[in-house]
Amino acid sequence: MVKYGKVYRPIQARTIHKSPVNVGTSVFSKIYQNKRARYSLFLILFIILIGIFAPFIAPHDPIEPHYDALLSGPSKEYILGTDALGRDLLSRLIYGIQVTIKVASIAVGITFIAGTFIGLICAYVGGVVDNILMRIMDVLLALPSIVLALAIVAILGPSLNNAMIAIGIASIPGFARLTRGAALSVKSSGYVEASRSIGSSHAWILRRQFLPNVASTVLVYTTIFIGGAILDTAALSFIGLGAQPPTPEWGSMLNEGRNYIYQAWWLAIFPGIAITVVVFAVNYLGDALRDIFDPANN
Amino acid sequence: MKKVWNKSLISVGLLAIFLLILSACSSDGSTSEKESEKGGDPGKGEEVQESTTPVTGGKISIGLNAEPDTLDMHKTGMALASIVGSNLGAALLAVDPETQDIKPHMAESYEVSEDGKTLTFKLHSGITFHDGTALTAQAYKDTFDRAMNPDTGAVVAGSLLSDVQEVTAQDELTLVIELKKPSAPFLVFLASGGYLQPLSMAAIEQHGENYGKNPVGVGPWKFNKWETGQSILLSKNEAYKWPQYYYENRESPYPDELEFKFITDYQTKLAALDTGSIDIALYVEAKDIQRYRDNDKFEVKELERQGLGLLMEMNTENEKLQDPNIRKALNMAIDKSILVQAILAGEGTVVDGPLSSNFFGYDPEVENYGYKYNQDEAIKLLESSGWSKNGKGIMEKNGKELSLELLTTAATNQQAQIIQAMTKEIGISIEIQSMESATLIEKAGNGEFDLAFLSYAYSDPDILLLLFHSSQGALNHTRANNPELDALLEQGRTEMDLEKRKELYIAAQKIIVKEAYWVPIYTEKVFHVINKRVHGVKNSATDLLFHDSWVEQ
Amino acid sequence: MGQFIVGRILSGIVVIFGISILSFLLIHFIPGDPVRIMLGQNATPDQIERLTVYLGLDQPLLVQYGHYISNVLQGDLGTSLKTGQPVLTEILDRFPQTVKLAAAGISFAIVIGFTVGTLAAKFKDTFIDRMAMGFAMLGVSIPGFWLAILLIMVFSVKLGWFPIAEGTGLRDLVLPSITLGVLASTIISRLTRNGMVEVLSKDYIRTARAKGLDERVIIVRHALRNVLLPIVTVIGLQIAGLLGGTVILEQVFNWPGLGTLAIGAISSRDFPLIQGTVLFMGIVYVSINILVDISYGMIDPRVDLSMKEES
Repeated sequence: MVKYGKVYRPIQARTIHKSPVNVGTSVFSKIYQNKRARYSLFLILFIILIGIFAPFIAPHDPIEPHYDALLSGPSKEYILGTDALGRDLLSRLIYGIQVTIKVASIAVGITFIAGTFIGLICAYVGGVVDNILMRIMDVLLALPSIVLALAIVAILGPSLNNAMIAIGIASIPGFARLTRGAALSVKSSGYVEASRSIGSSHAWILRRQFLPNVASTVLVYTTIFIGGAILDTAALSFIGLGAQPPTPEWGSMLNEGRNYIYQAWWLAIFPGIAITVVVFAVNYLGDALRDIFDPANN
Repeated sequence: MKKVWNKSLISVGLLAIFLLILSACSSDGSTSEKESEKGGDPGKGEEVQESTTPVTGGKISIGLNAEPDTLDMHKTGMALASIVGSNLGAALLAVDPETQDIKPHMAESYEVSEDGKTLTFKLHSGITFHDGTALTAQAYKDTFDRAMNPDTGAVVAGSLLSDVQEVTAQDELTLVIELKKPSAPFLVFLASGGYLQPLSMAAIEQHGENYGKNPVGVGPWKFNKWETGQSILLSKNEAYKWPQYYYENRESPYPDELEFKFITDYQTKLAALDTGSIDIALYVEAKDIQRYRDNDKFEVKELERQGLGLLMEMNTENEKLQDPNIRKALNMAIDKSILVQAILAGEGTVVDGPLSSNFFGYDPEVENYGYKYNQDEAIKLLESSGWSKNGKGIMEKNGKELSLELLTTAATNQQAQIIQAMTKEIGISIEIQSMESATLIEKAGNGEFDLAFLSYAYSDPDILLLLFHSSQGALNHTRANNPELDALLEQGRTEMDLEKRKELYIAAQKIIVKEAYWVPIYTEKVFHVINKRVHGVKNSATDLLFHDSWVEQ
Repeated sequence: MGQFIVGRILSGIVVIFGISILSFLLIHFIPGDPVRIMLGQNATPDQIERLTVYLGLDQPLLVQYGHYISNVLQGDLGTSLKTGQPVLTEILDRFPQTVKLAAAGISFAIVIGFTVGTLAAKFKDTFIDRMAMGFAMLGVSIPGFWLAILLIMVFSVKLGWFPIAEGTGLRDLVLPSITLGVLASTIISRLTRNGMVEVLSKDYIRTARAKGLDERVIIVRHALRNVLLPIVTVIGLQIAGLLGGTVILEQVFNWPGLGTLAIGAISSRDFPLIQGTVLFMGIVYVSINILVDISYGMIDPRVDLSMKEES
């Protein structure tokens, strides 16, 4: 069979394990010891907390119009200004975190579960099953994920839930391929073969040897995919195929806001900053995690 | 001798360069400067620009919101396609931009028979299509026959001709149209230079399936090329000598080319106008108008909305909405003036009845008997029907919450959100469903809705038949079923006496308001913004008129 | 070598075959009757019947696919429901514009990536390095459409340097390709930096420095040349990936390419056109990948061309 991974997938090439990684409490201390990981993790946790406690933190109701303050600029009352319906932008951004958390967990959840499953099956079972599944993944990989997501939304119809599902599905092939690569390197390591030769059951090997050793790599990929999922959802919402008003989703807020570039610059600026900061933090964390778990990269 | 000639050549050359520089300055320099230069001309004031002599040549570029599907006027259902198409063709009749009177255009004269069922048109002689074939009565007959043939699939053009019994070409220039029954709005249809223009049968035969990308008409502009995804370019028809009587220019158009650029994105369209990529932006939103009014480089044309503005339909077969009290409460829950303020920046009018004030037959009395914003009254109505507010502030009856679904398109999302917030105050919760307009019409047509937004571009009160007739109303989404109303609307369609016709529609409006079939909201103004390098653009109440336009170079 | 090329092409064909099944099935995944959805509410039973037969939806799935694939092989991707034009014509009309945009985008990505990567390597572990790598990460963190809006606001509307929706000339290409370039530069920046760091520590660079050669000459002549190869491969693959990146940006910049075509097709529910675009993009992507793989194999003899499964 033809090798895809080794030839042109630099990320995978760098993350294939040469030796098993011990997952346990030491992981957290490792993460904590890494300055980049620690800072980005703190930032992400901070943002998540703001999202969770949005009702207590947000100064206004995110969907309540204030007709006496349409498109009013940043002020004491409305710190980041208001939109065309007089809704407080800051409050909408804060509630938007909840939407983003939902996107990150559901879209990436779909990718994670299906991708890990397919990747592990392919690596562990190998042979025909591997071949067929990987060919199917190749087919799906041949389409840019946003195009695949667009096609799925075209079928399901535009809504935030459908957009999340579409993006989740569209990312499965990439994720499965990476997981498979990582798992293959574990499989080929001496100790798995040793267990097998002494007659350990498949379930035991999978649970006790395979999963823990693939887990760290999968964790890195998941983090990286979260950033992509947030960006893609925002993009779909931006062209009107994702979140529907009055949901305070950042991409759709940008879509509404850009119509008021001349009257209200803040509407086209702040939601974009929010997306960028969150995705940047997630990517930064992913990068740091990759350094931690992949000594070969340093 | 030779030297003198040389000298004069040089001075001519210098003059030419000077003029070139001058024109370059004036074309990108600010207009205010130019006006001050001409300030010495007394008594002209703002009319200075209009009075300058038209220049031939150049190109006018217009931004279109979308790419037309086809320029075959029979196969398209897109209003945008007819905007482009109307430049390629011309109509039998023309509507006077000021008086709304109907005058002949491609026809030299026309007659309507006593019973109103036979229309006879005498065509001008010597008119030719762009491909050289002559415009005869037969050509008109063939065009209309093609539009009426169901195989053509002429959705709009076919429906405009739905009252036609037969079209005959009596002789080369005499066209006779027999109607099934007298039709008051039919003459206005015949003034549609877009959908009902004559098409060259020779071209249709020659291009077959591709005719839509190679249209041939009789109009002032000839089709030049279609850059997929980008633009349609028309070039002037030098042979065109028959503009509508109200134009000053009696010849072919001044500019060489007319270009329509497809710019889907609204904000990009404005940027294109600002940066000079297009000269004319159609349908600029009210919120952006002040900026253009304040800018000397642009001229704002303010037109009336053709047809109905925004209204909210209610499904009267719905379990909850079949109760007129709820429909009335919804009418009273919405403060329309806030919508006009927030969405239209005040550039619109609140509407109280089913017709807006620029319709024939509009009943001014509706401002008195229409529903007024009154939350307390609305809540009382709901309570009298047995609803009461629950802990969440939502009206509840027998354990069921009063929640409704509102269908909207992306364009009216903000309106939906405001209404959602307003009805919440009287305890009606609304969930917004945003979709493509085709899907919305389909769902509303199938009765799969509670509430739905609609607007409609058609300015004859006959539209009420389409919207409320229990059996003939193709758009009777509300499921109105009122025999008295049906009868009034049927009579209105065939009544040729204008006074009587008006009475019929006033009676109909009263019934519709009483039954509260829908919530009329507002009519907006329509704004087109024109770069002042384009001169002489006129307008009727509802359309821009380009034939006197010319462009600075 | 020959065996490698043949094998690579064969597996590409298998994938394209799969894509054809996917694009074929697309229409069958639509909940409800696709014909009804396409024709809308005013369709007569006769019209529905005719379109059903025309699309062959009354036949068994396998037969339908047989028709579909044999049409596709003859270059017939169906007819657009909206314009009545052949889908392939519509796509081929737009494709050159997308290629143009992607090519300009990748050029900017190379310029940005090399500059940022070299800067970071030159000032390794300093503030400049961190800034440069932070900028590189911005490329994968900033929403492309937002960057596009910002650029339009500043350079078109405020400064008036670049036109909007003027056409598809060189000046129109600048803003969209800068946007694409920033988005696609991340990986090039990183590879350049890592490669440079490695090369700059090599003996021959030290020798060159000891000889007192100008630092710029060292970097451009000696170092950059040696980090080029892996980057060239990545660039090849980025071109394919950029096809996806252009989809949304085309919309914002009003660029008449495949992206605007696809989004337009989705909003007007023009399913033959959606199918065609998906199939076409897949084929292009697979073809580019094959070409990159093969050319890479030819450029670098160290690449292992054996057909063994990696492990």
